[in-house]
Amino acid sequence: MDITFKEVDYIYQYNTPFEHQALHNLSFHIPSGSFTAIIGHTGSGKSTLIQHLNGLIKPIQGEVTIGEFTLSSEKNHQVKDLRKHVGVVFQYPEHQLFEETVKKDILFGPKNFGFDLDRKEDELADVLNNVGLPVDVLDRSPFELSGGQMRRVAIAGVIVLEPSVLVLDEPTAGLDPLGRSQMLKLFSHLHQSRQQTTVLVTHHMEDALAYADQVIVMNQGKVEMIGEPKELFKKKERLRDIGLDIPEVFECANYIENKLGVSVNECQSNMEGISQVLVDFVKAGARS
Amino acid sequence: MNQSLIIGQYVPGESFIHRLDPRLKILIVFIFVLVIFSAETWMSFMTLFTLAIGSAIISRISVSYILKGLKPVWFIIALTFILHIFLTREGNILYSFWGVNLYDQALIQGANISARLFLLILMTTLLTLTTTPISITDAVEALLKPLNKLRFPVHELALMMSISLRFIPTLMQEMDKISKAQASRGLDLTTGPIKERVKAIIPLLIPLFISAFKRAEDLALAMEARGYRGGEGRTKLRELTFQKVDLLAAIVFIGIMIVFWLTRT
Amino acid sequence: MIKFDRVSFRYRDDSSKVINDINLSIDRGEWVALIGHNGSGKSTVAKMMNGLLLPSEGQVFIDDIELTEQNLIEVRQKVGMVFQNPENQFVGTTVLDDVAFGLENLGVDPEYMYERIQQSLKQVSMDGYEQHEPHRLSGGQKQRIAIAGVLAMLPEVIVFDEATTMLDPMGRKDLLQTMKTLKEERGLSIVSITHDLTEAAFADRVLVLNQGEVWFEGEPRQLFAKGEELENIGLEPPFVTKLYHQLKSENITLEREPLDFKELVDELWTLHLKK
Ligand SMILES: Nc1ncnc2c1ncn2[C@@H]1O[C@H](COP(=O)(O)OP(=O)(O)OP(=O)(O)O)[C@@H](O)[C@H]1O
Ligand SMILES: Nc1ncnc2c1ncn2[C@@H]1O[C@H](COP(=O)(O)OP(=O)(O)OP(=O)(O)O)[C@@H](O)[C@H]1O
Ligand SMILES: [Mg+2]
Ligand SMILES: [Mg+2]
Repeated sequence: MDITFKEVDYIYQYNTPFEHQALHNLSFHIPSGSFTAIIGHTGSGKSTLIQHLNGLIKPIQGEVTIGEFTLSSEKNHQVKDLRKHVGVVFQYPEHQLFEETVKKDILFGPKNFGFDLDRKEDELADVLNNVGLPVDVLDRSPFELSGGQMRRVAIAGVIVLEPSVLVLDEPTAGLDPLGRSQMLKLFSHLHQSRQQTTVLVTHHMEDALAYADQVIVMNQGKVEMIGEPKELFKKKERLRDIGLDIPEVFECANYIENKLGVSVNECQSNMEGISQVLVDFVKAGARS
Repeated sequence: MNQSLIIGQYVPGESFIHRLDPRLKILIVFIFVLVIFSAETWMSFMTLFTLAIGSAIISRISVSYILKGLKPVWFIIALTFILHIFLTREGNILYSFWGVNLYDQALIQGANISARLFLLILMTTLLTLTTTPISITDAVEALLKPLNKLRFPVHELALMMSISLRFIPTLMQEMDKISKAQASRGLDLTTGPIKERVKAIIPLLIPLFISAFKRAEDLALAMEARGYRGGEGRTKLRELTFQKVDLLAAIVFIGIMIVFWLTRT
Repeated sequence: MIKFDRVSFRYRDDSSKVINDINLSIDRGEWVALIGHNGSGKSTVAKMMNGLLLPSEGQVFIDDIELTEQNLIEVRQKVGMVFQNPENQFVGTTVLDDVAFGLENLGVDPEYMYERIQQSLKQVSMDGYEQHEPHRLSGGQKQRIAIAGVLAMLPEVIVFDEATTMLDPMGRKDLLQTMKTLKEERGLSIVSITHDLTEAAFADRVLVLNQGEVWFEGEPRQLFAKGEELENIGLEPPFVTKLYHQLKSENITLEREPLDFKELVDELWTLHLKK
């Protein structure tokens, strides 16, 4: 599903002394089937933005279109239908678990949305396999599992709905390095195998670079930049000004260019490329 | 989460009311609440209203904000009024329609009760709007101090109060987050039969309890790590001091109470 | 400063050992990183450093005095701790009250409190925030308030149990900078628990725990030199280590294992000049 924001404003605690404008005049487009990363410093409005995607909050001004659905400041009666198509995995999603067994918890969404439960039950083994959990956890209590496993259960509870849009708010926060890379591979796999539109909020520039085909940079409630990761991360100064880093590969490439005076071209901005540049540099030295 | 409900919130400010000694404020509100129920005449009500609304104005908190924040309370007040009108059967019949009689006493009593409720809520809300939670707990601890002699755990009670107050915003945020997460999984709290809706609260409450429990555990550990071992041998950063403005406020309050007492019946 | 002598720990008498016969020491003014996969026992070790847990076997010494039930308060004054979740260690309703909490527990005279609080807040660059409420601060700011609360108690060591994990990159960088300043300017010892090897590069010494035992002890450089072995115990080698690994496969070697890409490129540069 295509997603379009048109001049969206959002204000928390509207009409109180605590009023706080979190989004200013936001406009952008997320093409259907794309993998979009949203980056930005803390408090820049990333979580506020994604809550518009399934109608948890609605714009105070402007309009959000998701497929055929339109959200504006007016009341919308189709939000439940929208939520069926847009799955959201929140930060620390393991905090939402509540059922006695993993199975019940995963089927909570399908039950609410009126899916065919028997069919969904048959698919459970597949879903668990996808998130990297053994089938025997199904009858255990989610609260007996380790933190990382609980997170996988929570994620399974969303992907079992097979949403057309999958929204992820910092899904890897707090996991150890191994857990992190497994989780990202899972999302990338789902994106490819299901043609799912994926929106990933992340603080890791490396992840944005490795997986996204479009990056939205947020700054103080506004879209600061939007574009392809490789293009975008070239703008080191601008990113630094708004408190963001660039991926270490790019830092390294910059450093090599300054220090060694050899150029690293765009397609060499990865580990192999950089290593090649360095090898060439040393070999050239050996020859001269 | 109802964001317009303001009971229990603090609005920072520098007004005369904000700066009063919290012990005095609590005492005033306490006495005020006690005497509300002995008000009977127009004059005595006028005195109390003058005090309450006067304080609201001096506190410089926008009146429309206060009134809007009390919206859910209006409903209760109106309901009380209506119940009185239908249930009281004393005095003269003023009006009668469809076989229902409206007595003059019903009107008077209904108005009485509603006015008392309104005053009570307005004053207590004003207290929390102008006093930081920490000052309230400090004041409660100070006021209850004499009970220490009776082995009543005053310090522990005050600490418990201040920690709960500190965690209210956190738990509200948490509640908001959990209900959004469950709504994303299709949980619907706004439609369907009452029974279903009550059941739909479970997916919110369980995670909230678990998280509150986890927080309490973490917090206990953090407190212990910083050397906490109960009230014994402990000093306190804040000493409450009674100042000239407080004396002034106390005198004004006593004056008003005397006027009230004279006009009460 | 801190010394563990053949320490073991089990959570319940009938459960198995979570920490198994470990020895370690933290010297004055030293920065030690403690790393290891989820569940390897890092937090358990940290809690034994200030008596939140007492060892089931073996002894813990703080300044050569054995830690026992009797001297817990002195130990907790000397060994401060900052935890992972910024939200759950904020006791006070305002910054001022929170920083004062530890001092109140120690029974410090209120007259001296304000000065000590001011100093501590300044050291973490949070002066001016005295009246702020916790839920209006960012995660990084809350962590710095937690540090200030510990600093006010005049500790000798601060243990950071994954204190940077829940922060965004900026908050993380700021916090690491603060830790560095504390070490350099106040001569504090730092124990930092982390999953992030880039963060471990800040340390003078690294201890790696694996299933309750010390798997490695030495300089960060020596640890990075282990390369792929790290993956076996659930850790990820940093970017520079992977890059250097690639170079090595092309027969380019340096005199010492690089800590970051700057070191690596600089070394190559001198290597190039020499030829
Ligand atoms: N429920 C709320 N009430 C009031 N203000 C809020 C609320 N939620 C968020 N805000 C404010 O809105 C702004 C944007 O917050 P948001 O959570 O969208 O940021 P974010 O980019 O997701 O940050 P992070 O990286 O820390 O998750 C912040 O200034 C925040 O303080
Ligand atoms: N309160 C407790 N009761 C029983 N077992 C516990 C308790 N706390 C921890 N454990 C167990 O002790 C082991 C070590 O836990 P610890 O918390 O020290 O690990 P850690 O290295 O800090 O892990 P993480 O990276 O997840 O923080 C784990 O197997 C854990 O399940
Ligand atoms: Mg967020
Ligand atoms: Mg731990």
